[in-house]
Amino acid sequence: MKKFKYIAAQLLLCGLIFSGCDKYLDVEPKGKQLLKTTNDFDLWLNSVVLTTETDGNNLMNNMTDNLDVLNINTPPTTLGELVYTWAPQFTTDVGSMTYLWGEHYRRISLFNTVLLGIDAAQGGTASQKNSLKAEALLGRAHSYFYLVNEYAKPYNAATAATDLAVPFVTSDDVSKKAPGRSTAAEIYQHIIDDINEAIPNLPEDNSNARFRGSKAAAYSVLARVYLYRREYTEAQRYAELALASTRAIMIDYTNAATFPATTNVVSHPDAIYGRSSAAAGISISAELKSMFAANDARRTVLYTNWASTVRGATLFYAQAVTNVFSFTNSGTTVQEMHLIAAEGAARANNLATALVHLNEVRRNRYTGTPVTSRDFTSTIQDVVLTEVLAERRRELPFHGLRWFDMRRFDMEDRMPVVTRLNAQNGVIATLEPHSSKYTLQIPIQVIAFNPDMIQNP
Amino acid sequence: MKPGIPRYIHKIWLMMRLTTVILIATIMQVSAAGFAQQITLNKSNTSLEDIIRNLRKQSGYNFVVPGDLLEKAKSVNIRVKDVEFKKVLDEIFESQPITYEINNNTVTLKAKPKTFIQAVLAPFLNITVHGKVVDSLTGNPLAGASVIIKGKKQFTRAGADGSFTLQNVEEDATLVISYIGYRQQEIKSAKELGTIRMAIDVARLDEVAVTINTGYQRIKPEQSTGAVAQIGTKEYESRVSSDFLDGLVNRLPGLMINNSVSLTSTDPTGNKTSRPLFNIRGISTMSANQSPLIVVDGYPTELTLDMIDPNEIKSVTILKDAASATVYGVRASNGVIIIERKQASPGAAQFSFRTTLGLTPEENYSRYRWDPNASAINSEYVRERQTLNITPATWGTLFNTGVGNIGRSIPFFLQSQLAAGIISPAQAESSFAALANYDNLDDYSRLFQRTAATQTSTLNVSGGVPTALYYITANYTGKQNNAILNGNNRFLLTGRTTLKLAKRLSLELTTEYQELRNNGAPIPGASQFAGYERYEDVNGNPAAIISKSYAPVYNSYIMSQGLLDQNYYPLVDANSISDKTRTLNNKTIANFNYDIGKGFNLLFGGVYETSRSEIRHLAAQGSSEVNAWVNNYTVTAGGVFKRNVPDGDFLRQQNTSSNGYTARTQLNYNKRFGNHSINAIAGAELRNVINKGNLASYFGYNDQSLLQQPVDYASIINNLASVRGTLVTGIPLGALNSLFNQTYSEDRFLSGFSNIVYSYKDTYSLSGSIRIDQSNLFGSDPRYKYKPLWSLGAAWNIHREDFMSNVNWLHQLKLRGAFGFNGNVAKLSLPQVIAQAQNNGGNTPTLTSLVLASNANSGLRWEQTENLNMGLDFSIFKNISGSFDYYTKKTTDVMGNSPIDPTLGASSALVNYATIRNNGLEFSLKADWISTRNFNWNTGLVIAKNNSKVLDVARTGRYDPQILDVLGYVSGYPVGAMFSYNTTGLNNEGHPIIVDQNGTSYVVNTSSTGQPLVTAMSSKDSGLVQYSGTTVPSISAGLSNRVDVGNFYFFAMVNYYGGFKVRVPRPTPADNRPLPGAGNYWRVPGDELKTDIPNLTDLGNPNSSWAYLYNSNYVVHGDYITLGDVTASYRLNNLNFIKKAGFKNFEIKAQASNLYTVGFNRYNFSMATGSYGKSYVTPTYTLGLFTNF
Repeated sequence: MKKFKYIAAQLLLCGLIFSGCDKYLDVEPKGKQLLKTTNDFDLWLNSVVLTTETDGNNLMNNMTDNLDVLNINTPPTTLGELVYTWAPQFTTDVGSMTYLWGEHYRRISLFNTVLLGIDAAQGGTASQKNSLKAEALLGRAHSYFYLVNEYAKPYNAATAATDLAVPFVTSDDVSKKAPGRSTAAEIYQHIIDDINEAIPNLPEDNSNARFRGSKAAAYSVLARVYLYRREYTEAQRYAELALASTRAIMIDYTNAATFPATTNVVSHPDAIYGRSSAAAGISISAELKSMFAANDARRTVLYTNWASTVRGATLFYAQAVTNVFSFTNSGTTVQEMHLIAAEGAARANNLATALVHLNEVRRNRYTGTPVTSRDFTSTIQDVVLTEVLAERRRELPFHGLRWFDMRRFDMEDRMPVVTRLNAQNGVIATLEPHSSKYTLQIPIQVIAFNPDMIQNP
Repeated sequence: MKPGIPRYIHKIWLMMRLTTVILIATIMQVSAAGFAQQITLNKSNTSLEDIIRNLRKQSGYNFVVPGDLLEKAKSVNIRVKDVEFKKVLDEIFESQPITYEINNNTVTLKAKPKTFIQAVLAPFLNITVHGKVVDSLTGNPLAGASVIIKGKKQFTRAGADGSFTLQNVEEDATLVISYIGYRQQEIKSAKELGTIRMAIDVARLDEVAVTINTGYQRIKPEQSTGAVAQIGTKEYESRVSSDFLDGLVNRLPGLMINNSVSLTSTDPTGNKTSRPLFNIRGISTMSANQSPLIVVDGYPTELTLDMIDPNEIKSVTILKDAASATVYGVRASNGVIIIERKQASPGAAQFSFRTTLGLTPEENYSRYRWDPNASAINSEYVRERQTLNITPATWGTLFNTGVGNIGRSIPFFLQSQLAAGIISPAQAESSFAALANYDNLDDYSRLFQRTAATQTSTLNVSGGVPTALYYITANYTGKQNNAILNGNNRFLLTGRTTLKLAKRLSLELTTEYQELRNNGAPIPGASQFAGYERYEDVNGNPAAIISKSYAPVYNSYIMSQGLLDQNYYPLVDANSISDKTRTLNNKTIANFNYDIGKGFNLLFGGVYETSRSEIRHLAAQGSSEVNAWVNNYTVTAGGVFKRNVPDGDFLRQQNTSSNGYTARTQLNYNKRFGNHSINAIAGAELRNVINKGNLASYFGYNDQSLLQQPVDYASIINNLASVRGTLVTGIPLGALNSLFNQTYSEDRFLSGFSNIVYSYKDTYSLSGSIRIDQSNLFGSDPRYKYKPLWSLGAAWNIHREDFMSNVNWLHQLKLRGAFGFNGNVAKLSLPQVIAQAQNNGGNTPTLTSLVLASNANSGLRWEQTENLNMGLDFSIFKNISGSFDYYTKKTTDVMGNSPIDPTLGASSALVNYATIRNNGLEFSLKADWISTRNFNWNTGLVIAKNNSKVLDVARTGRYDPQILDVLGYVSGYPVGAMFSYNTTGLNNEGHPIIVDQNGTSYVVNTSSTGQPLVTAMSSKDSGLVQYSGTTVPSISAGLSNRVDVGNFYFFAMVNYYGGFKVRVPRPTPADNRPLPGAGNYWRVPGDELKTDIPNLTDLGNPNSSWAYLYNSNYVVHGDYITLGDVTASYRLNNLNFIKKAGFKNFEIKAQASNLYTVGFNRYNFSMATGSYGKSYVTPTYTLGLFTNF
């Protein structure tokens, strides 16, 4: 009985004086954990969230002139309809999801977690830590690239120092207040500086997980960045650097036997810096449809109902034709780098180089023997450039880039008026050249928390 | 502490075995004695008791002596030698008021019947008794002490000065005087008893009949400072409950249980939840669990409430305020419900058997408020709307992937065929007429509905000796639901034993076992599909619901390509898809109690609970579920036909288990020093809950042969193109962990608690409690550590004051007040990022990864409820008692997921989100108006009023009825606030007109974003959006009456809910089951005089349809009453055959529940019906047999 009392008393004391029992509470939940080791941060960068950059259906596709949708409510009410008609806001509900903006900052926060924690992580070598840090810098820069192209005016070197872009967030704490909008020049400077800082520490190859960083991935993002700054020489230089340092290769659309097995687009052999996005069942515009030649393999590989002449009946719908291309890659690819290089060369009137890059793409997209019959030739700079831009539109119609291209071309007075027609051919929306609609408004969800933030027109 | 335990347990077992041996030996002794029929006795002036002892030894006869019989015996003088046993008895009892009877070897003694003369004279011989009851130490009068004549029903209570008078008392009667907390006294009656001094019974202080049980501690009611309410067995069992909570509805003030009214709330991420009201003193938290903590036999339970058998309820106590609930810590912020179950009493085995059968008839759709022309209205509406989108080319596109695989309504297909010229206008009209003339309700009732039946049987046995008591119950409940193929049954076995192991050590041991089986099958709702959809074709074969299937032409096409039928047939799915759940629950509670002495008492014990369940989801071959997956993974293109998911049954089997224990050590101190008494506890608790689960899936499964087919998961999960079909797309199997999975979580808690009640002269009480909770859920952040919750309370027993001594009709008047804090800590949110492991299947090969579980969040504070309670308890006249309570609860820093600046990287985060205030009044009354031997009329009344107000809530966003009505929490308004537009009718174009506060009218003819009117209609400041009241009843009341007449009793319960509003839905032709008049929408100018249903375009547009649907003129008072229960019972105890059959009690009960309801508004709409569409309540009829033997 004495022992009994002793046990009970001990338990009682143990409860009252907690320090003696801390061990009892030292059980970490399974499946959940804090980020402690270098390996934890490595796994963190494997997150499925980082295989995408926008929400599943890349909304920016809906803003392009590649679509023609008949079945539209008047007035537009659904998200897709509001985006399609270039509504200034995609919602009136502050509580709803913040497309684009929220998605990019979500990834920025994940990368910031790495940047803030990696130095103190346990285990791992300095070079492992540096490599992870470099990947995070590249990923964050890539997200800012999207933000600056969505919410700042199309890049204009003359006004960039005063054009407002987006806040530059370096924290991952949801209790902190977000900073105000930086200028386009500042954001671009961050992007370029971060990538340049990252390049020396990035791995040579990312073939196992192409959504993670590599030197080629960094060059390819820089190529994009300079392309949309309309600094074409630099764009061409980085595109060629990317092509030179990547192991990625193009997929030959003319030979089904060479198609990859997986529908995971970030793991396709042509991905340099993979980002998955969905585009299925999109009614394409007559204008886009008219740009395809009869021997263009993409017509049969990616589209259904090509033969139909009914308006809107032809769909971009790989899932129903060639399953493996169910998703589109909004990240960088070999073909995109060739097209950037071709454009840079064409604009510099370096037509031979331009055609080499262009035909490299065409040989994997058009049918016809011999292979050289698929090539495009011209010695007129304008013709070559026009063809390069047309190829770019055919190759990257629903990859989230056409909207950025429209912005860029609008700066060069290359964009006509874009109109939206209902089933009875009545005009329901118009996008005029140099329209302020080319720059998205800051979402009201953001304004609600930052009432002082200056709104775009 | 580790060594020694096994040895100790061994000791207990040894002790128990010894006890049993001793018991058996005692019983054996009697029958071991020999027989001697010739008796020799020589005694004078000896007590009868001694004589009987002597006789037993000599004769070997057993003597049965009823309780107090010998007290009346006179002393005996006898001298006999070798006289026959019976003659000796005759001599002894001749002069005694006692006679005897011999059966076999047993002599049974009984009182001699009174002679006629004695009976006549009795009243004249009887006396009137006076006396005064006081505390032996202080001499204070003990008002309300009861004085009972032993063996009679006659009794009285002492007045405020302690004095009492009893008339017509037999001269030799014994009076029993008792008072809670004092040792009971017995005295012989006399005319003047003088002052009776009662001594406090310290040892039994916690065992007296009426105490407040907090689960941790028993407190004398007059010392309690907290707000508690209690219901006992008799009250609880007046009605027949098949479910534990049913029996509590409106019986305890402050406890709101209402299954007809739900609070709908939306968290900022858009997750909408709707749950029936089950809370104590309003809703003050926003996290998912707003239910009170449920404590069974002293320990919080993690198991289902089904474990609690309503037949075993001894009492239910609710703890409502901080003073009573703080000792439960952070889990008690919603109040606590304490359940105490019946215990055995010593004696021979007592059996009780109860069985009930309850029947609920099927729905009577003809009494619904539905338009009888539902098919016509809906098909016409759809036709008119779809015509706008249909061109001659539409029909042709239906043959294509991407268009054909969208579910569309029958009118759409007919109209497309008409537009394409496939059918003639005449054919189309006759087809539409056929749609209009058919309504599937009769078929629905015939095919999917039946009478629901619930059957329960309970067998119980209890008894034992004072040192070892047992109480064993077996219960079976079987239920078939109204919906076919759905039902459940459960079996429950519980055993409770109380053992006195040693002089100072006792053990209470409870074990429970429960098996629950639930059978489910997918049955569509009556209004889920339009009236013209058929469940059966004309030949009685299952028919497909067209609107939930592929386009018929596309379905034919894919079937011609070798794919399976992609249609949805409700009748096929009902019979081929089943969800069966089998749950096993086990629970063991062991409590050791060691009496240290000097007022100290050590309790240590614990509860161990395990729950295992197996959930089997079986979708047979041919069900829509299997067909969709098979089709999705059937490759048809390129000349190869291959099914990558086998056609056959699909089985998904999920096993989950939960193991938890709570171990508690508690030191009790109970002592009285003169006028001071202290009742204190201090203790510590360890709690551990482990949840585990695994999931496995089988394709091409056969439940008979138990075989399955292999599936190439690697290709499917790695999204290989080669396994995906192109005709049916978009129904993927999902992530691997939706087919195969493991889950595990372990939560540990460590808590310390203390509660002290100090009382002076039993008149003034002070109480204080404190609790500290710690857990392993990343909760070791120093800021969360060691923050205690505390409360203070005080009580004043006014009736014990001298100045009250003259008030004879008042037996109790107690004023009490308490103040304290309850709180809550965020478990899984920290200043750092929390990650969780996940496979990344978006890459090939699949990668292991860590993903975000919770953002870094450095700004969180504790959620805190500040709780103030003032109460008054009274007991007046003969038997009327009751209480008043007033309370305020202010919960600050309420945590909730709130939208945050998306720039920070998350759409929402856990933030200190809101402040909510609840205050209210509660009143309860219990009265025995008339109480005689054969007649008793008892009333119970409970009224509770709760006002809630959301003082502040972090929210931005659209401010219009559509959003606000489902938000649940709107700043400045009660919880569950409802909003409307003041809509006055239509203009001459069929557009609704709304009016703002200043009387300015607006025609709602646009829904374009950016239009000023559209903005104003979603704006807080425009005055267009008006508050219409709360959807949560603020008043609940219950009135129960029970009338006992002899062996018959009648019980009725009326419930009232009030102080809230309901919105009467407006008819719209788009509904599958439109309300009457839905077809009467605006068509041509002039219609606005006849209808307020806008034109069709407006009905389909957001703002104009809101103006119509959220019209404030259709928000009406929700107040309603229900005749909850009518129960009649008859005890057949006096019937001879019942007695002969050995029944001690044989009672038949009949009950009708949910008999009638009426709503106090112009539509007689009562929420008790479940929805506006239903105009009546479906009653349940129960017949029960309650027996004891």
